[in-house]
Amino acid sequence: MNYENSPLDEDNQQESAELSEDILLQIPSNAFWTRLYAIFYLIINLLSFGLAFFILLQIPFKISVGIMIAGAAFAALSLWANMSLFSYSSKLYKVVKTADIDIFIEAMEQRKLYWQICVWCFITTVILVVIAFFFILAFLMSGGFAGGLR
Amino acid sequence: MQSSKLRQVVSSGGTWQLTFAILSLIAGALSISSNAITALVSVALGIFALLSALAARKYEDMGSSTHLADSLKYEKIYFIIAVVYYVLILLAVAFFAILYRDAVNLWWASFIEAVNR
Repeated sequence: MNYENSPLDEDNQQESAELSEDILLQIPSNAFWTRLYAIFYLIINLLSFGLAFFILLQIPFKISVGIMIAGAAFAALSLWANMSLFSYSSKLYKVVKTADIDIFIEAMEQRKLYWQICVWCFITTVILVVIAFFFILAFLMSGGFAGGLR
Repeated sequence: MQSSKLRQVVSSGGTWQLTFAILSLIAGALSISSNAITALVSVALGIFALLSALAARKYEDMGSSTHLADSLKYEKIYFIIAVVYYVLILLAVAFFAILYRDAVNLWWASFIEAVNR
């Protein structure tokens, strides 16, 4: 039986065409910038968490609980986004070497996960800002910083 | 099979990217009066995320690899802008840390004290 012109073969040809030259040309530089971004994103995340921890130590525990919960959720999401970025760039580097469509699909799944987490990070940030605003306001109104607003 | 799976993943990723782009553009527009630089960066990131997302969604409709390549290209520009912005933030932090070294030392001492407490 001749499989050369079978529908399956045509499908395979179409699949290999998915990773055509224009896509393969983009992948190396994409992998590089994604990895670089992931590194800087991690540095900024760690600095931000350090600063947030420092600020939280300065205010009473009861007031900071709400901020802590939202902040912890945000930190977890940020680190998760960071991991997905590292995974995405690693898979892109693998595609550079192998031009394997399966690995490329996995890379695209990581890419989807990253954008998904970005949306959740954004929503958490809004919640965090709202909670922080009200708790800090309550702190100041109750005589925080030597009764500044009272 | 793989081809349709790729299209599906790219397209649903594009939908999330589109959502983020819209949120980023809204955030940029809202913060323009309070922090112009952050707002500008947010809008620029939003625009490139939007272009990448639209190209990803076109890829599902038309199936042309050019659209996926375009999507990757715009996403790369998004990451380049973000890296430049982060480098500027780190430089600014380092600059102010050196400029106000005494204050930083004081904060650090109070931080250590608070941790030990």
